[in-house]
Amino acid sequence: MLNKAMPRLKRLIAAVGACAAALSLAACGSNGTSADGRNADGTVTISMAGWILATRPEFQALATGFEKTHSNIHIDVKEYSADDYDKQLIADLSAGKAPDVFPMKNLKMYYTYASPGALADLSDAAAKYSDDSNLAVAKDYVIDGKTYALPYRVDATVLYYNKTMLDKAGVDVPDGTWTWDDYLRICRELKKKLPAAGYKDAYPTYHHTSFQAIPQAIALAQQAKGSGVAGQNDLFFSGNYDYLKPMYKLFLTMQHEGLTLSYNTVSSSKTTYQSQFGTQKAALLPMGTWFMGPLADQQASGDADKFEWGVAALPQLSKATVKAPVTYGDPTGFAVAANSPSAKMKAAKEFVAWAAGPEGAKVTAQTGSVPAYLSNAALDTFFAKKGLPSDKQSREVLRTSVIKQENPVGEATQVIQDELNMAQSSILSETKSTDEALAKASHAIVNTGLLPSQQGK
Amino acid sequence: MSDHQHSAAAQIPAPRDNSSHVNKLRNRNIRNGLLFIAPNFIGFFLLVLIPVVTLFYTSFTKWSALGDPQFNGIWNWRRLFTDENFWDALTNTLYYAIIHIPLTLALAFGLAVLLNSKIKGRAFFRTVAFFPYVTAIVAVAQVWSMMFDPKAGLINQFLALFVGADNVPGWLSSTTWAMPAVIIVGTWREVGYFMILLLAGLQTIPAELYEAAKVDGANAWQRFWNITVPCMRPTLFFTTVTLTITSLKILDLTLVMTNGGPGTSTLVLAQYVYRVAFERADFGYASTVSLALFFICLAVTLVQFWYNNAKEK
Repeated sequence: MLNKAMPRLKRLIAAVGACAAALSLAACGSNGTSADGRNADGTVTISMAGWILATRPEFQALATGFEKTHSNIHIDVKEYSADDYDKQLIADLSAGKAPDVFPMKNLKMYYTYASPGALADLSDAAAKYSDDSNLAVAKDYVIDGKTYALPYRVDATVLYYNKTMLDKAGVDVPDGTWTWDDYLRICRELKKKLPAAGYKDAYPTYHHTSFQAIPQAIALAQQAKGSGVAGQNDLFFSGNYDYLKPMYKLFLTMQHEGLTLSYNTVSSSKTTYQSQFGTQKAALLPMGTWFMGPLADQQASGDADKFEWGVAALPQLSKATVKAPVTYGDPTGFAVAANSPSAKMKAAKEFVAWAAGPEGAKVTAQTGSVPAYLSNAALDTFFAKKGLPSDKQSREVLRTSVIKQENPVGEATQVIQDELNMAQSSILSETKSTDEALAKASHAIVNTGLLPSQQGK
Repeated sequence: MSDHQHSAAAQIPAPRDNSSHVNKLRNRNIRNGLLFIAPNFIGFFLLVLIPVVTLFYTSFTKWSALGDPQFNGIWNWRRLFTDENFWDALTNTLYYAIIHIPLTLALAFGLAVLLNSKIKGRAFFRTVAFFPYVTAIVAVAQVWSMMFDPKAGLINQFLALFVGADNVPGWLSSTTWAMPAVIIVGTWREVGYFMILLLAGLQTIPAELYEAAKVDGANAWQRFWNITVPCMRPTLFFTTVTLTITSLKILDLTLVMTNGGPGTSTLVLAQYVYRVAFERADFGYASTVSLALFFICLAVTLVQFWYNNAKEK
C-alpha cells in the first residue's frame, strides 16, 4: 500500500531537496562578493568569454593589458567553443549565467542578442568615439539610436596575391584598381601562363564558396548606395535578391572555365583556403584580413610554402568605386551582460571602451589581428609583425577601403542569410538556375513576415 | 496500478497477521522499484518530459531563447503551411522513409533468414553485417562521400565501365541523386542492426513446426510464408515501428554527408528544426516544426498499432 510508503518517500524527496538547496546556497555564498559584485578587498573581478585561447591570444592579451593600467580590476577569461560559440552563449545568457563581458563574433547574431534586453546599453561609452574617424566601424552596432557593443577588431576582405607566382608567370600584380572584369581577364591570362612557369596543378584563383559571403557580401557591399548602412539595409531587407546576379554570373563563368575550384569540389572535399593559397595551388585569393597573421605564422613554421605575397583592394563591380574601393567585413566587438551587478558592470564597460580605443588597438595589433581602431600607430604595430608584407599598398588598403557590413543588422538577418546560403548551394552546384534559386529564397524570406516593411517599420 | 493491485489483494481472504507482512513486502517492493527507476526517470523527467511539454507552448510563441517567449497565436502554424522549406523537408523525409523502410526491412529479413540457416562462417557474416552499425557516423559519411565523388569516386569509376563515363550519376552534387545516395548509406548502416533483432526473433520459432510442415509436404517457400512470417509478426511489428520512427527523424547522415544540399534536396525535417532553432535563433517556429514532426510520427505509429491489432484478432 502506498499510504505507508508515502512518508518515507516524502522524507527521501525532502532530503534530496534540502541537499540541492544547500548546494545552491553554498554556491551563492562562496564568492564572498557584495551585492554590487565587489570583492571583499574592494577590487572587482569580471569574467570574459573567449574561444580557442591557446591559438587566439587576443582575449588573454587584452585582459592582461587592461589589468596593467587598472589595478583594481581583474579579468577571468572563460573558454568557449569556437564553432558553437553562439549556441553556448545563448544557453548561458538565457540561464542568466553569461560572463560579464563577451565578444560578438559577427553581426549576424547581434540583433538577436540585443533585442530581448540581454545586453547592457553602451551608448555612453560609444559617444566618446562618435567624432573619432579611426573607429568608424562603431556605427555598425547602432540599433534604434542605441549601442550595445563596441568593436575591438575588424576584418575586411581583400585580394591576396602570390607575388612569386605572378612574377614567374610574367603577369602584373594587382594594383588596387581592378574591376571584376579585369580580374577575370587576368585569371584567364594566368590559366595560360601558369603551367609554363612551372605551376602545373595550380589554379589562377581560389573562391572559398563555403563562405556564402563570397560572393554574396561582395555583391551587397559594392551595389549599396551611399556610405552609411541605410543603402545596404534597403537592399538586404528588400526581399528581392536580384542584386546577387552579376557576381554569380562571374563565379559560374570562372568555375566553368576552370579558373578556380568548382563549388562541388570545394564542398565535397572540404577544401581550405589556407591550403589552397598557402601551398601555391592558387595565385590569387579574395579573403579576410584575418588570414594575414596566420599566413605569416604558417610560412615561418613551414606549414605553408615560402613565397612573397601581398594584399590589394578587392576588385570592384564598377569603375566608379575604384578610388575608394568598397569591401565588406564585420567588426568583432565586446558586449556587457545586462544583468551584471553594478560594480562589475561599471568595470566591464570600462574594459570594453578601453579595448575599442587606441590602447586596446595596440594590444590587438600586437597579437596579429587588425584592430577596429585603425589609426596609423595601430597599423604600424600590426605590420611590425615578422612575415607580413611591407609594401605600401598592402599597408594602405585597410585605410583606403570602405568597409561595409557583411551582415546588415535587423530581425530578419539570420533568416535571410540562411535562405541565401541554401540558394548559394543550389546556384553554384548548378542544380538550379540563379533566377530560380533567388526567387525561391525571396519567397521563403517574405513568408516569414520578418522584413522591416512587413513589421510596419 | 497500485490501486488495482490493492483491490486484487483485498479480495484474497488472508489471515490478519499475514496481511501486515504482505503490506510490508509490497511497500518495500514499491520503494525499491521507485529507487531503481529513479536515475532513469529523473533524467527523463528533467531533460525530456519537461522540454517536450513546454514545446507545446513555445510552438505558439515567438522566442529567440533570450527573454521570454511572446505568445503569437496561430501565426507560426499559418507560416508552416506556406513555408516551402517545410514542405520540401517533409517531402524529402517521406521520400527517405518510404524507400528506406521497406528496403532495410527486406534486406535485414533476407540476411537474417540466410544467417539463421546452417551456412559456413555464419558467426563471421553476422559480425560483418553488424559492423556498419557500430562504426562512427562521421567516419562513415566521410568515406562514403569520397566513394560517391562524381569523378574520382570508386562507385562512378565502377559504373563507368557499364554506362560510360558521361552517364554516371552526380550523386551528392546532384539534386536527383543526392537522396538515393543518402538512402544507400542509411540502409547499409542500419541493415545489420535490424538483422540482429530479426535473427533473435527467428530463433524463437520452434523447429517442430518446420518438421511438421515438411512431413506434410510443404516446400521451402510455403514454410517461409506460413510459418516464419506469422511467427515473426511481433518482431516484425517492433522493427517496423522503430525503423519508421528512426527514418522519420533522420538527421545525422544528411547533416554530415550533404548538410541538406544541394539546395534543399536532402533537407529533412529534423535538420530543418535544427537550422531554424540554432542558425536562425527562431526557437518558437522551430518548436512548431518539431511538433509537426511529432504528430507525423505519432500518426504513423498509431496506424501501425491499429493494423497490427486488427491482424492479431
